[in-house]
Amino acid sequence: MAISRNTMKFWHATHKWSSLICTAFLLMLCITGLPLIFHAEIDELSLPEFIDIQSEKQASLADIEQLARAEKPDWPLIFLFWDDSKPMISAVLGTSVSAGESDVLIAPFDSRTGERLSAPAKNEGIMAFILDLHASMLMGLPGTLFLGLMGLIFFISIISGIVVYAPYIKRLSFATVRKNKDKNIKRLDTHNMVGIITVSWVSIVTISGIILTLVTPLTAIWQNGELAKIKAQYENVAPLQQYVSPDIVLANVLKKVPDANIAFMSWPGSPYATPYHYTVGWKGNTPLTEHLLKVALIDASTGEISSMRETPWYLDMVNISVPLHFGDYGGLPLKILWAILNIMAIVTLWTGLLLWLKKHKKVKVDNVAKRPKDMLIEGLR
Amino acid sequence: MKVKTEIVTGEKSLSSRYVWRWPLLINTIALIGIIAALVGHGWLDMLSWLCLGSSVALIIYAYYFATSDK
Repeated sequence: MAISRNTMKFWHATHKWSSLICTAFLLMLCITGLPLIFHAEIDELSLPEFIDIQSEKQASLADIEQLARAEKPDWPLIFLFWDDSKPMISAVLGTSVSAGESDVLIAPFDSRTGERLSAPAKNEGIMAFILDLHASMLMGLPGTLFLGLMGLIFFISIISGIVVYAPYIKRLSFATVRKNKDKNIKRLDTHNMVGIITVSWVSIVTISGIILTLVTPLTAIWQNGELAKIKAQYENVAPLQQYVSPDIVLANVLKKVPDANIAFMSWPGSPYATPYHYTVGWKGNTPLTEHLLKVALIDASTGEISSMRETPWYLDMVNISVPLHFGDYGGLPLKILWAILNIMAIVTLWTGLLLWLKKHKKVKVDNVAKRPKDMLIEGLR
Repeated sequence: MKVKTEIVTGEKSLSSRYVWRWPLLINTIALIGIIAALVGHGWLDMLSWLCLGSSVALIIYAYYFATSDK
Protein backbone atom coordinates (compact mmCIF):
# COMPACT_ATOMS: atom_id res chain seq x y z
CA MET A 1 0.00 0.00 0.00
CA ALA A 2 1.62 3.15 -1.16
CA ILE A 3 0.94 6.39 0.62
CA SER A 4 0.69 9.35 -1.68
CA ARG A 5 3.10 12.24 -1.50
CA ASN A 6 0.43 14.61 -0.26
CA THR A 7 -0.67 12.27 2.46
CA MET A 8 2.92 11.98 3.63
CA LYS A 9 3.24 15.77 3.59
CA PHE A 10 0.22 15.93 5.86
CA TRP A 11 1.76 13.46 8.31
CA HIS A 12 5.08 15.34 8.31
CA ALA A 13 3.26 18.59 9.07
CA THR A 14 1.21 16.86 11.77
CA HIS A 15 4.39 15.49 13.36
CA LYS A 16 6.08 18.86 13.24
CA TRP A 17 3.25 20.95 14.65
CA SER A 18 2.01 18.53 17.29
CA SER A 19 5.59 18.17 18.53
CA LEU A 20 6.24 21.90 18.55
CA ILE A 21 3.16 22.54 20.67
CA CYS A 22 3.92 19.98 23.36
CA THR A 23 7.72 19.52 23.46
CA ALA A 24 8.44 22.14 26.15
CA PHE A 25 5.77 20.65 28.44
CA LEU A 26 6.91 17.10 27.73
CA LEU A 27 10.49 18.01 28.63
CA MET A 28 9.21 19.45 31.92
CA LEU A 29 7.18 16.27 32.54
CA CYS A 30 10.15 14.00 31.82
CA ILE A 31 12.51 15.94 34.07
CA THR A 32 10.10 16.23 37.00
CA GLY A 33 8.96 12.65 36.43
CA LEU A 34 12.46 11.26 36.90
CA PRO A 35 12.65 11.77 40.72
CA LEU A 36 8.97 10.76 41.04
CA ILE A 37 9.82 7.23 39.83
CA PHE A 38 11.86 6.85 43.02
CA HIS A 39 9.39 8.66 45.31
CA ALA A 40 9.14 5.69 47.68
CA GLU A 41 12.92 5.50 48.13
CA ILE A 42 13.19 9.28 48.57
CA ASP A 43 10.19 9.45 50.94
CA GLU A 44 11.83 6.76 53.02
CA LEU A 45 14.67 9.13 53.87
CA SER A 46 12.29 11.49 55.62
CA LEU A 47 10.05 8.89 57.25
CA PRO A 48 10.46 7.93 60.89
CA GLU A 49 12.21 4.68 61.71
CA PHE A 50 9.66 1.97 62.30
CA ILE A 51 10.43 -0.82 64.69
CA ASP A 52 10.79 -3.78 62.39
CA ILE A 53 8.31 -6.12 63.98
CA GLN A 54 5.65 -7.97 62.11
CA SER A 55 3.04 -6.83 64.54
CA GLU A 56 -0.54 -7.46 63.53
CA LYS A 57 -1.77 -5.11 66.18
CA GLN A 58 -4.28 -2.55 65.02
CA ALA A 59 -4.47 0.79 66.76
CA SER A 60 -7.92 2.09 67.63
CA LEU A 61 -9.15 4.32 64.82
CA ALA A 62 -11.41 6.12 67.30
CA ASP A 63 -8.30 7.07 69.30
CA ILE A 64 -6.56 8.29 66.15
CA GLU A 65 -9.64 10.33 65.29
CA GLN A 66 -9.65 11.86 68.76
CA LEU A 67 -5.94 12.70 68.72
CA ALA A 68 -6.17 14.20 65.22
CA ARG A 69 -9.23 16.25 66.12
CA ALA A 70 -7.48 17.64 69.18
CA GLU A 71 -4.90 19.27 66.90
CA LYS A 72 -7.52 21.31 65.06
CA PRO A 73 -10.62 21.40 67.26
CA ASP A 74 -12.75 23.26 64.71
CA TRP A 75 -11.79 21.18 61.70
CA PRO A 76 -13.74 18.10 60.62
CA LEU A 77 -11.98 14.80 59.91
CA ILE A 78 -12.36 14.05 56.19
CA PHE A 79 -10.70 10.66 55.84
CA LEU A 80 -7.95 8.33 57.01
CA PHE A 81 -5.51 6.76 54.57
CA TRP A 82 -3.23 3.79 55.05
CA ASP A 83 0.37 3.84 53.79
CA ASP A 84 1.24 1.25 51.10
CA SER A 85 4.43 0.02 52.64
CA LYS A 86 4.71 1.40 56.17
CA PRO A 87 2.57 0.70 59.23
CA MET A 88 1.20 4.21 59.06
CA ILE A 89 -2.25 5.77 58.99
CA SER A 90 -2.65 9.44 58.14
CA ALA A 91 -5.61 11.50 59.23
CA VAL A 92 -6.74 14.28 56.91
CA LEU A 93 -8.54 17.21 58.52
CA GLY A 94 -9.75 20.26 56.65
CA THR A 95 -11.23 23.69 57.19
CA SER A 96 -14.37 22.05 55.78
CA VAL A 97 -15.14 18.51 54.55
CA SER A 98 -14.63 19.64 50.96
CA ALA A 99 -11.45 21.63 51.65
CA GLY A 100 -8.87 21.81 48.87
CA GLU A 101 -5.36 20.46 49.24
CA SER A 102 -3.99 23.72 50.62
CA ASP A 103 -6.52 23.87 53.45
CA VAL A 104 -5.91 20.47 55.02
CA LEU A 105 -3.79 19.03 57.78
CA ILE A 106 -2.32 15.59 57.22
CA ALA A 107 -1.41 13.96 60.53
CA PRO A 108 0.45 10.62 60.41
CA PHE A 109 0.03 7.94 63.10
CA ASP A 110 1.61 4.57 63.80
CA SER A 111 -1.05 2.10 62.67
CA ARG A 112 -0.14 -0.40 65.42
CA THR A 113 0.23 1.83 68.48
CA GLY A 114 -1.82 4.85 67.43
CA GLU A 115 1.10 7.07 68.36
CA ARG A 116 1.35 10.43 66.58
CA LEU A 117 4.41 10.40 64.31
CA SER A 118 6.51 13.43 63.60
CA ALA A 119 6.94 12.58 59.92
CA PRO A 120 6.59 15.37 57.40
CA ALA A 121 3.12 15.37 55.93
CA LYS A 122 2.49 14.00 52.46
CA ASN A 123 1.50 17.39 51.12
CA GLU A 124 4.71 19.13 52.20
CA GLY A 125 8.34 18.94 51.19
CA ILE A 126 10.27 18.78 47.96
CA MET A 127 8.66 15.59 46.58
CA ALA A 128 5.15 16.98 47.06
CA PHE A 129 6.30 20.12 45.25
CA ILE A 130 7.75 18.13 42.34
CA LEU A 131 4.56 16.07 42.11
CA ASP A 132 2.48 19.24 42.08
CA LEU A 133 4.68 20.66 39.35
CA HIS A 134 4.48 17.42 37.36
CA ALA A 135 0.72 16.99 37.74
CA SER A 136 -0.54 20.55 37.42
CA MET A 137 2.35 23.03 37.05
CA LEU A 138 1.15 24.35 40.46
CA MET A 139 -2.11 25.47 38.86
CA GLY A 140 -4.56 22.96 40.27
CA LEU A 141 -7.24 21.33 38.13
CA PRO A 142 -6.92 23.71 35.13
CA GLY A 143 -3.17 22.98 35.03
CA THR A 144 -3.82 19.24 35.21
CA LEU A 145 -6.39 19.29 32.41
CA PHE A 146 -4.06 21.43 30.30
CA LEU A 147 -1.28 18.86 30.75
CA GLY A 148 -3.78 16.17 29.75
CA LEU A 149 -4.38 18.07 26.54
CA MET A 150 -0.61 18.31 25.99
CA GLY A 151 -0.44 14.55 26.51
CA LEU A 152 -3.10 14.07 23.87
CA ILE A 153 -1.19 16.27 21.42
CA PHE A 154 1.97 14.34 22.25
CA PHE A 155 0.11 11.13 21.41
CA ILE A 156 -0.73 12.62 17.99
CA SER A 157 2.97 13.37 17.64
CA ILE A 158 3.79 9.72 18.45
CA ILE A 159 1.31 8.36 15.89
CA SER A 160 2.46 10.75 13.15
CA GLY A 161 6.05 9.93 14.07
CA ILE A 162 5.38 6.24 13.41
CA VAL A 163 3.83 7.10 10.03
CA VAL A 164 6.74 9.25 8.85
CA TYR A 165 9.21 6.62 10.08
CA ALA A 166 8.29 4.32 7.18
CA PRO A 167 9.59 6.43 4.26
CA TYR A 168 12.66 7.38 6.32
CA ILE A 169 13.78 3.82 7.02
CA LYS A 170 13.10 2.42 3.56
CA ARG A 171 16.62 3.01 2.37
CA LEU A 172 18.29 2.24 5.67
CA SER A 173 18.59 -0.78 7.87
CA PHE A 174 16.79 -0.84 11.18
CA ALA A 175 18.48 1.19 13.92
CA THR A 176 21.19 2.64 11.69
CA VAL A 177 23.00 5.63 13.16
CA ARG A 178 25.20 7.27 10.52
CA LYS A 179 28.01 8.67 12.60
CA ASN A 180 30.48 9.77 9.95
CA LYS A 181 28.20 12.16 8.19
CA ASP A 182 26.75 15.52 9.03
CA LYS A 183 25.75 16.11 12.67
CA ASN A 184 22.15 16.56 11.61
CA ILE A 185 22.03 13.16 9.92
CA LYS A 186 23.36 11.54 13.08
CA ARG A 187 20.76 13.47 15.05
CA LEU A 188 17.95 12.37 12.72
CA ASP A 189 19.08 8.74 12.92
CA THR A 190 19.29 8.92 16.73
CA HIS A 191 15.83 10.52 16.95
CA ASN A 192 14.30 7.83 14.75
CA MET A 193 16.19 4.91 16.27
CA VAL A 194 15.45 5.81 19.92
CA GLY A 195 11.93 6.92 19.04
CA ILE A 196 10.88 3.73 17.28
CA ILE A 197 12.48 1.39 19.83
CA THR A 198 10.79 3.11 22.80
CA VAL A 199 7.46 3.86 21.13
CA SER A 200 5.37 1.32 23.03
CA TRP A 201 6.77 2.35 26.43
CA VAL A 202 6.31 6.05 25.64
CA SER A 203 2.74 5.38 24.46
CA ILE A 204 1.84 3.48 27.64
CA VAL A 205 3.23 6.23 29.89
CA THR A 206 1.48 8.91 27.80
CA ILE A 207 -1.92 7.20 27.78
CA SER A 208 -1.80 6.40 31.51
CA GLY A 209 -0.72 9.99 32.15
CA ILE A 210 -3.67 11.36 30.16
CA ILE A 211 -6.02 9.09 32.13
CA LEU A 212 -4.52 10.33 35.42
CA THR A 213 -5.25 13.94 34.47
CA LEU A 214 -8.92 12.94 34.45
CA VAL A 215 -9.03 11.67 38.05
CA THR A 216 -11.05 14.64 39.32
CA PRO A 217 -13.75 14.60 36.62
CA LEU A 218 -13.99 10.80 36.74
CA THR A 219 -14.34 10.85 40.52
CA ALA A 220 -17.03 13.48 40.11
CA ILE A 221 -18.92 11.13 37.78
CA TRP A 222 -18.87 8.49 40.51
CA GLN A 223 -19.90 11.01 43.18
CA ASN A 224 -22.76 12.40 41.10
CA GLY A 225 -23.83 8.96 39.88
CA GLU A 226 -23.60 5.97 42.21
CA LEU A 227 -22.96 7.96 45.36
CA ALA A 228 -25.72 10.49 44.67
CA LYS A 229 -28.17 7.65 44.00
CA ILE A 230 -27.54 6.18 47.44
CA LYS A 231 -27.70 9.61 49.03
CA ALA A 232 -31.10 10.20 47.39
CA GLN A 233 -32.60 7.20 49.22
CA TYR A 234 -32.09 9.07 52.50
CA GLU A 235 -33.87 12.24 51.46
CA ASN A 236 -36.41 12.14 54.27
CA VAL A 237 -34.15 10.74 56.96
CA ALA A 238 -33.10 13.02 59.80
CA PRO A 239 -29.37 13.77 59.99
CA LEU A 240 -27.41 11.45 62.27
CA GLN A 241 -26.52 12.77 65.71
CA GLN A 242 -23.79 10.26 66.26
CA TYR A 243 -21.71 7.91 64.12
CA VAL A 244 -20.82 4.38 64.95
CA SER A 245 -17.15 3.90 65.93
CA PRO A 246 -14.74 3.60 62.95
CA ASP A 247 -13.29 0.50 64.65
CA ILE A 248 -16.60 -1.33 64.23
CA VAL A 249 -16.69 -0.23 60.59
CA LEU A 250 -13.18 -1.59 60.00
CA ALA A 251 -13.95 -4.85 61.79
CA ASN A 252 -17.08 -5.40 59.69
CA VAL A 253 -15.22 -4.82 56.43
CA LEU A 254 -12.41 -7.19 57.47
CA LYS A 255 -14.98 -9.82 58.49
CA LYS A 256 -16.42 -9.71 55.00
CA VAL A 257 -13.11 -9.35 53.12
CA PRO A 258 -10.41 -10.86 55.35
CA ASP A 259 -7.51 -10.26 52.94
CA ALA A 260 -8.43 -6.64 52.23
CA ASN A 261 -5.51 -4.27 52.13
CA ILE A 262 -7.30 -1.22 53.56
CA ALA A 263 -6.46 1.97 51.65
CA PHE A 264 -8.77 4.60 53.09
CA MET A 265 -11.80 5.30 55.26
CA SER A 266 -13.89 8.34 54.45
CA TRP A 267 -15.99 9.94 57.17
CA PRO A 268 -19.75 10.48 56.89
CA GLY A 269 -20.51 13.81 55.27
CA SER A 270 -17.24 13.96 53.36
CA PRO A 271 -17.21 14.15 49.53
CA TYR A 272 -16.37 10.44 49.16
CA ALA A 273 -19.11 9.25 51.50
CA THR A 274 -22.71 10.24 52.25
CA PRO A 275 -24.06 11.96 55.37
CA TYR A 276 -25.26 8.49 56.45
CA HIS A 277 -22.33 6.30 55.44
CA TYR A 278 -18.66 5.77 55.92
CA THR A 279 -16.84 4.74 52.73
CA VAL A 280 -14.03 2.19 53.02
CA GLY A 281 -11.67 1.49 50.12
CA TRP A 282 -9.21 -1.39 49.91
CA LYS A 283 -6.89 -3.09 47.49
CA GLY A 284 -6.52 -6.80 46.85
CA ASN A 285 -3.66 -8.99 47.92
CA THR A 286 -2.72 -10.65 44.65
CA PRO A 287 -0.56 -9.15 41.88
CA LEU A 288 -3.65 -8.83 39.69
CA THR A 289 -5.76 -7.03 42.28
CA GLU A 290 -3.17 -5.11 44.32
CA HIS A 291 -3.55 -2.02 42.13
CA LEU A 292 -7.34 -2.12 41.94
CA LEU A 293 -9.51 -0.40 44.50
CA LYS A 294 -12.76 -1.82 45.90
CA VAL A 295 -15.17 0.33 47.79
CA ALA A 296 -17.97 -0.32 50.27
CA LEU A 297 -20.44 2.02 51.92
CA ILE A 298 -21.03 1.32 55.59
CA ASP A 299 -24.13 2.50 57.40
CA ALA A 300 -22.91 5.11 59.89
CA SER A 301 -25.62 4.34 62.44
CA THR A 302 -25.25 0.55 62.57
CA GLY A 303 -21.77 -0.13 61.17
CA GLU A 304 -23.20 -2.71 58.76
CA ILE A 305 -22.05 -2.89 55.14
CA SER A 306 -24.90 -1.43 53.13
CA SER A 307 -23.44 -1.41 49.64
CA MET A 308 -20.49 -3.16 48.08
CA ARG A 309 -20.56 -2.87 44.34
CA GLU A 310 -18.11 -3.48 41.58
CA THR A 311 -15.89 -0.47 41.05
CA PRO A 312 -16.92 1.30 37.84
CA TRP A 313 -14.60 0.53 34.91
CA TYR A 314 -13.37 4.11 34.61
CA LEU A 315 -12.09 4.11 38.18
CA ASP A 316 -10.37 0.73 37.60
CA MET A 317 -8.74 2.37 34.58
CA VAL A 318 -7.47 5.21 36.75
CA ASN A 319 -6.11 2.85 39.39
CA ILE A 320 -4.28 0.66 36.89
CA SER A 321 -2.81 3.79 35.29
CA VAL A 322 -0.93 4.73 38.46
CA PRO A 323 1.65 1.91 38.36
CA LEU A 324 1.81 2.01 34.55
CA HIS A 325 2.66 5.71 34.70
CA PHE A 326 5.18 5.68 37.55
CA GLY A 327 6.77 2.26 36.94
CA ASP A 328 6.71 1.37 40.63
CA TYR A 329 5.25 -2.12 40.31
CA GLY A 330 8.17 -4.44 39.59
CA GLY A 331 10.92 -3.75 42.06
CA LEU A 332 13.91 -1.43 41.90
CA PRO A 333 15.26 -2.82 38.57
CA LEU A 334 12.01 -1.87 36.85
CA LYS A 335 12.22 1.63 38.32
CA ILE A 336 15.78 1.99 37.02
CA LEU A 337 14.65 0.84 33.56
CA TRP A 338 11.74 3.28 33.78
CA ALA A 339 14.22 6.07 34.53
CA ILE A 340 16.51 5.07 31.64
CA LEU A 341 13.55 4.93 29.24
CA ASN A 342 12.47 8.34 30.55
CA ILE A 343 15.93 9.69 29.68
CA MET A 344 15.58 8.05 26.25
CA ALA A 345 12.32 9.97 25.81
CA ILE A 346 14.22 13.16 26.65
CA VAL A 347 16.78 12.22 23.96
CA THR A 348 14.00 11.81 21.39
CA LEU A 349 12.36 15.11 22.38
CA TRP A 350 15.65 16.98 22.44
CA THR A 351 17.00 15.65 19.12
CA GLY A 352 13.61 16.35 17.56
CA LEU A 353 13.70 19.94 18.78
CA LEU A 354 17.28 20.45 17.54
CA LEU A 355 16.39 18.97 14.15
CA TRP A 356 13.63 21.51 13.78
CA LEU A 357 15.84 24.39 14.96
CA LYS A 358 18.68 23.48 12.59
CA LYS A 359 16.35 22.98 9.64
CA HIS A 360 14.86 26.36 10.34
CA LYS A 361 18.26 28.01 10.37
CA LYS A 362 19.32 26.22 7.19
CA VAL A 363 16.30 27.50 5.30
CA LYS A 364 17.24 31.03 6.26
CA VAL A 365 20.80 30.52 5.03
CA ASP A 366 19.43 29.11 1.79
CA ASN A 367 17.37 32.25 1.24
CA VAL A 368 20.34 34.49 1.83
CA ALA A 369 22.45 32.33 -0.43
CA LYS A 370 20.29 33.30 -3.37
CA ARG A 371 22.27 36.53 -3.64
CA PRO A 372 25.10 36.04 -6.16
CA LYS A 373 27.92 36.91 -3.81
CA ASP A 374 26.71 34.47 -1.22
CA MET A 375 26.21 31.86 -3.88
CA LEU A 376 29.87 32.20 -4.71
CA ILE A 377 30.83 31.77 -1.09
CA GLU A 378 28.53 28.79 -0.85
CA GLY A 379 30.19 27.37 -3.93
CA LEU A 380 33.65 27.79 -2.46
CA ARG A 381 32.79 25.81 0.59
CA MET B 1 22.12 -9.53 19.07
CA LYS B 2 23.11 -8.81 15.54
CA VAL B 3 21.48 -6.00 13.68
CA LYS B 4 22.43 -5.47 10.10
CA THR B 5 23.25 -1.84 9.63
CA GLU B 6 24.47 -1.59 6.10
CA ILE B 7 22.73 0.82 3.81
CA VAL B 8 20.24 -0.93 1.63
CA THR B 9 20.74 0.18 -1.91
CA GLY B 10 18.20 0.51 -4.65
CA GLU B 11 15.44 3.00 -5.21
CA LYS B 12 12.64 0.49 -5.12
CA SER B 13 10.66 0.74 -1.98
CA LEU B 14 10.96 -2.28 0.19
CA SER B 15 7.93 -4.05 1.48
CA SER B 16 6.34 -2.81 4.66
CA ARG B 17 7.11 -6.18 6.19
CA TYR B 18 10.77 -5.30 5.93
CA VAL B 19 10.19 -1.86 7.44
CA TRP B 20 8.14 -3.01 10.40
CA ARG B 21 9.46 -6.41 11.42
CA TRP B 22 12.19 -5.14 13.78
CA PRO B 23 10.14 -2.31 15.35
CA LEU B 24 7.24 -4.74 15.80
CA LEU B 25 9.43 -7.36 17.43
CA ILE B 26 11.21 -5.04 19.85
CA ASN B 27 7.99 -3.24 20.81
CA THR B 28 6.12 -6.49 21.37
CA ILE B 29 8.92 -7.58 23.70
CA ALA B 30 8.73 -4.23 25.51
CA LEU B 31 4.94 -4.54 25.92
CA ILE B 32 5.33 -8.05 27.33
CA GLY B 33 7.80 -6.52 29.78
CA ILE B 34 5.41 -3.76 30.80
CA ILE B 35 2.55 -6.20 31.38
CA ALA B 36 4.54 -9.05 33.00
CA ALA B 37 5.27 -7.28 36.29
CA LEU B 38 1.67 -6.08 36.45
CA VAL B 39 0.12 -9.55 36.43
CA GLY B 40 2.58 -11.30 38.71
CA HIS B 41 5.76 -11.14 40.71
CA GLY B 42 8.84 -13.29 41.08
CA TRP B 43 9.86 -14.68 37.70
CA LEU B 44 7.40 -12.35 35.94
CA ASP B 45 9.25 -9.37 37.46
CA MET B 46 12.47 -10.76 36.06
CA LEU B 47 10.88 -11.32 32.66
CA SER B 48 9.78 -7.70 32.78
CA TRP B 49 13.34 -6.48 33.51
CA LEU B 50 14.72 -8.65 30.74
CA CYS B 51 12.20 -7.47 28.16
CA LEU B 52 12.51 -3.74 28.88
CA GLY B 53 16.25 -4.14 29.34
CA SER B 54 16.50 -5.49 25.79
CA SER B 55 15.12 -2.19 24.44
CA VAL B 56 17.77 -0.26 26.36
CA ALA B 57 20.50 -2.70 25.28
CA LEU B 58 19.48 -2.34 21.63
CA ILE B 59 19.66 1.47 21.83
CA ILE B 60 23.13 1.34 23.40
CA TYR B 61 24.27 -1.17 20.78
CA ALA B 62 22.87 0.84 17.87
CA TYR B 63 24.34 4.12 19.12
CA TYR B 64 27.77 3.05 20.27
CA PHE B 65 28.69 -0.28 18.71
CA ALA B 66 26.90 -0.88 15.44
CA THR B 67 28.98 0.11 12.45
CA SER B 68 27.48 2.19 9.74
CA ASP B 69 29.53 2.16 6.57
CA LYS B 70 28.17 5.39 5.17
